[in-house]
Amino acid sequence: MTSEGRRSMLFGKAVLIMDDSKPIRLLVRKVLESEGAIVIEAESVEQGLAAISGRAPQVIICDLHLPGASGFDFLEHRVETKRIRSIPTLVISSSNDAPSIQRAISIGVDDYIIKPFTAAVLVQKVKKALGSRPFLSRKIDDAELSRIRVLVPAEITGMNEVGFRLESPVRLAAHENLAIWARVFEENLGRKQILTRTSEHQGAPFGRERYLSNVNFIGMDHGFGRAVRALLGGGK
Amino acid sequence: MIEREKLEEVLLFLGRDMAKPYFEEIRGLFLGTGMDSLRRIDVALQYGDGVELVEASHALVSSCCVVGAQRLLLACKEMEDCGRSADFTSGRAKVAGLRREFKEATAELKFVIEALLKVEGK
Repeated sequence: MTSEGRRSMLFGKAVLIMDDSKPIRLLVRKVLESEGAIVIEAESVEQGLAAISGRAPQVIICDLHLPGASGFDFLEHRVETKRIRSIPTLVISSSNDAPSIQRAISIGVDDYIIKPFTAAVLVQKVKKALGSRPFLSRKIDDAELSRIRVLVPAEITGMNEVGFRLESPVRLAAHENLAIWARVFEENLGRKQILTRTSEHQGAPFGRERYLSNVNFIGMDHGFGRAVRALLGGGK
Repeated sequence: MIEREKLEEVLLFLGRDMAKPYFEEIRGLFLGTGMDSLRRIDVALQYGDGVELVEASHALVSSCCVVGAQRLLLACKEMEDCGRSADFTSGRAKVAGLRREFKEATAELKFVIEALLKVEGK
């Protein structure tokens, strides 16, 4: 919860911080946890990749100067790796030289945070990164769509390894539990019905009497996340 | 030398209940990682290891950023430059100043944190 008592858009979002500095990781963790985020810490790229092998985070924050593989190595790996390519990524660095910033941006980072930074700037940039790419998803074809049914009148118009994009005349509350019956899952995962949760409510309807909601897989076990990624063709 | 505003912003953001344990932990980390970095800097200078000198100085730079230790941060960046240019003579000449800055920053960090929590607690 935020200090105003409203739920932050970071609530329940998993954020990976890769930085070899314990004080930096502690600051990032405390600040983002105060907004309800789930922070995964890693002191190297290798450790970070291992930490997210089970379930992909919603945001990655990466230092450039790391022992072993550098932040740039990670950014290049990210571009080449389907399962993490679409995750909004911020670079955090004490290097404020233009070539470093330009190089990072050219590899596709969403934003660049220069140390020292304030708590407010960190939260604002993470929120912006989440908001700018709220739901990068693979378009699922009609055959797949026909095999998925949500137990509210709704259409699934996108799906990725973190959840669904749902268009519905029903205004769903944020973090509302939602039952989804999906034959595509039954066939691949052996489940007839999954119970999952809506994420941040989008507020105003996007069209006439239709609302857009994101339904995420937060809370699902790692095996489920891996299986969904495999189902979507994202590999392991 | 410690930027009070930096810690104040964290205090306001987290609130006193969350900031107090954070400050205690960050003080311990600043001291622990700082001592470790200084030890590594000494060894790097002794053996003329430029890469290690950059790494060790850089580790201290990040700690300085978190607590707003401005003068120590500048001293660390100078030491990083010595490592990059393999200028160990300058590095050895600067290391005593770096230690002094670290000692002063550590003492002031304790003072600033206590003062901030005292004011906030009133």
